Amino acid sequence: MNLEKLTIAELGRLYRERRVSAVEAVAAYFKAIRAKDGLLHAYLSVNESAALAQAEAVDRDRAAGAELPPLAGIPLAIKDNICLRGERTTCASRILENFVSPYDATVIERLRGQRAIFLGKTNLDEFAFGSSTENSAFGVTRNPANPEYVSGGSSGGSAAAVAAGLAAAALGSDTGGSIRQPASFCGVVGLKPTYGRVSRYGLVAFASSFDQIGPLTRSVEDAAVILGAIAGPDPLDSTSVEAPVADYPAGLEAPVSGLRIGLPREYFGAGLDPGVAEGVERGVKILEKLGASVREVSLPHTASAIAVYYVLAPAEASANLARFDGVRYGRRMPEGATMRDLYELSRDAGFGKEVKRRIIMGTFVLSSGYYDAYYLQAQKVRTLIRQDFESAFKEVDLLVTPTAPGPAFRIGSKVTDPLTMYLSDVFTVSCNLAGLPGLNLPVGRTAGNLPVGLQLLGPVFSEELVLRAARALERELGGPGAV
Amino acid sequence: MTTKYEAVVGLEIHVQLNAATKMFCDCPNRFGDEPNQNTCPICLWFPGASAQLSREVVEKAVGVAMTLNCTINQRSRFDQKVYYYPDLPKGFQLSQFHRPLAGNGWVEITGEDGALRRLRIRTLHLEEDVAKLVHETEGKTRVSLVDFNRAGCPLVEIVTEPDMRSPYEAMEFVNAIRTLVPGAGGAECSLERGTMRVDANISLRPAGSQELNVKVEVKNMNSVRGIGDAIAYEIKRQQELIQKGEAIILHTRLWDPKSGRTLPMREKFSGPCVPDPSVPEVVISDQWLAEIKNGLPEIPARKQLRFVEEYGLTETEAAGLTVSPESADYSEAVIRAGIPARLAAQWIAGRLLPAAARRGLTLAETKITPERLAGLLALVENGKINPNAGRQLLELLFEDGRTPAEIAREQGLDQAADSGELEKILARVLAENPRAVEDFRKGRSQSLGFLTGQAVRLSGGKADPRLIRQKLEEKLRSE
Ligand SMILES: [Zn+2]
Repeated sequence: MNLEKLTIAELGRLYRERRVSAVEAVAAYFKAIRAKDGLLHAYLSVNESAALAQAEAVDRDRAAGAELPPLAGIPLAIKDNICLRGERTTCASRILENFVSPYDATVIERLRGQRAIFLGKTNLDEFAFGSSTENSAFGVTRNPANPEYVSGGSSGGSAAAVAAGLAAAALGSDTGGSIRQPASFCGVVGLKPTYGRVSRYGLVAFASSFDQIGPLTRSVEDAAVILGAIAGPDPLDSTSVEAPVADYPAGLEAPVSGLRIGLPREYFGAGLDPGVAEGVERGVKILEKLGASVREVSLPHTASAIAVYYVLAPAEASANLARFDGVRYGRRMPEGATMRDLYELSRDAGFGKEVKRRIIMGTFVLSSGYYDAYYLQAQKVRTLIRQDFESAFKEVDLLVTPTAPGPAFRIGSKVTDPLTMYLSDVFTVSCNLAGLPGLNLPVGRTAGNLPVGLQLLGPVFSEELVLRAARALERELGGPGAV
Repeated sequence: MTTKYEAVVGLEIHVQLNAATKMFCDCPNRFGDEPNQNTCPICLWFPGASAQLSREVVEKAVGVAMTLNCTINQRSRFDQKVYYYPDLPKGFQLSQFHRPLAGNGWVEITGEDGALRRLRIRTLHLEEDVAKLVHETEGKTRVSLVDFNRAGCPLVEIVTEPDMRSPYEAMEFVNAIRTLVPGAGGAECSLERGTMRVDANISLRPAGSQELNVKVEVKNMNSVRGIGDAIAYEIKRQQELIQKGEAIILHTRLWDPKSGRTLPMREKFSGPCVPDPSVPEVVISDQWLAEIKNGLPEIPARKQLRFVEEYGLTETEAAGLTVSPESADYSEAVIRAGIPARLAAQWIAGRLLPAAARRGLTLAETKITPERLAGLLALVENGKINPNAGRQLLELLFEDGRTPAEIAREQGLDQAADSGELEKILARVLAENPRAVEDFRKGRSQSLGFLTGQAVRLSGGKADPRLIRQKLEEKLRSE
């Protein structure tokens, strides 16, 4: 039996039936990591002894007859911009290369409460700035479907780990598509929850008004289980929202007949990869067959989304990264004579090229003289984009779009052209600008055998509906991992 | 012909709120602890940490704003004041620039001409404090140490309109803040202890003109006197520059109280001030606003009125007791102990407060609790000691912790009130002054005054003249 290919639900069933122990599962995962991760580089760090100790404790309690939560003993991977107490949290940056977090992020605390097991920390674009993990200071993560191709980003390590069977599921973070796009490139389920649904406390902030933590999983059900475990208000994150947390797995199998699906015209223009277009079309047909009605809708400000995103997100990022100064923690360059040297040398040596590019962009749009023209203008367009969605959701219940314009691209093919790279986020950023939930579901493969994904977008706090529609599609496509 | 110039002064006052915690985390808002003891991942701004605004801080700030007659903005926001300096753990300071908590306030001061002047407050907003830098030498190496205990402590910044025209008015404004704000219970406002910091913006213009010229900011004044001196110095410095035909340049200067001069200060690099995306908008509902208002201590003006109505005091007497919330509470405690309000007013405003001030003490720092003063005043009221002895006893109470009655007895302050002693004195006065006694019997009542004076003199000033006069009259009439 291939333990490391099972879904959380399947592995959990084996645990309950006492057919497999958590120690066996964890050992199988570390065996797989040793075999494959030298090539893939999904992980930046692993902690085998801690994971085994957690697994032993779970097995002991289960043997003693304890009633354990659904995630007990489930081996997870955590994106390395989420803090785990006592573990390094590098954000794939030299400036935090040796930073050990003194505390757990709220999501980690909640998963610990569920007795989940943490295998290690996964690779990402430095500070989550990127769409391919090529901006990691510690090397790219390769796509398990084809190692010559990128895994997507910024949660590329988490997506690759789940796709390659190096973790049962993973946490990622999504600021402009960083969960959904790598999920689409690697062929796994990726869910970005509504802004405020999951606490951001302990997530190293990229752009505070966009960031959300979410699951990357091998099945829709697994995404529902993890979301249920991590969602809900948190006094430590004042942007988390008091909305009630649904029993997400419970509603998954409900029918989707009568559901009104919208296809935003602006997402199906020229330049869409034929393999992607075909996959999405297949998904839409299935929904129609299941009794959903499909119509075209318009989100007229879509064309501005990338520009707005690349004004606002770097603006927030430039302030969020100001704290990395070499004074209290992180890399400090000792050669400088003055305080200014301390800052400049530490930040120059600590940050990579893309980070510097975004800090400069962010500082520029916030500087006096440009603030009104760029930052304030972008804020206004952000409101218009949000209103586009609000009007669309008066007519339809969910939107279906491609997750990315194309499948994974070759490593190195876009690194010299940041603008082309930024355009790979074109279908995912609007969701963050509007704070909506969005999910990637694998719906097929290209002629070159690269995964393609379909994106479901719903109104705020409609995760239950998004997951239900995704589950219906997944079932019709042959179940988890079938495509 | 020389132009006459007038000064245009505005103040920026930072007041530390006395909330229990820091502004965005649960660390204690307390001073004097071991360096970096009151810190956590939030106020050190570790990766992943984010801010949670304290409700108590908002309430205290709103209380201060109401006391200063400000309009409360029920929706306000935090901005990031970006600059790089080691006292700032995240490269920006959370403050309210674009949408402050409150504004359009005022306080009234008595101008130099004795007329009431209303000085306007432009904005009042929340701001987090920064860390403290300590520069030391370790061996031969100069080191800078950072103490983050103060980082993230809650401040309100009060920004005035440029309404002040003299050092005196600025000092009076600061005095008004020091009286009013502690009265609201939200802050201490001690310049000396640094719980209040005042920066002054000063410019000059031809008298009568309405223009606002280039201003110079002066910092580092740690007394009201210092504020007046620094402003006076800066006015003179600018006058001299103008006379020499030199331009005034926008910059910041530090007041050096030792030399009595201001010196230019190196500016911190400062960047933009933009809305913070992570601290949610501060929304104060009507109900919350009403709750804060109801919870506020009485403002001094209203308290003064109540003292007049409730205790039958004159306005002057009431004003004397309500100079500070402390003295008002103290007076009420003395009155509650059964001392007539007027007597309490005379002694507290006229004697106790000046005596404490001479010693540089607040009422709470003296040994004289309201109970002890009430004890002393009861001795006076019952004629056990005379007012003169009472004054001596008051001075003794500062040093001696025993009850006023005990001290009076030991020091012999009450001996004249002792009936045996008094009887002897009265007998002696009557025996030694037969002519005055005779005059009284003939109906010349003024001789009673003479005899009373003699008796008081014999008692060494300790006997109560009222009591002596009464006893002498009894004796003369009965004989
Ligand atoms: Zn703290």
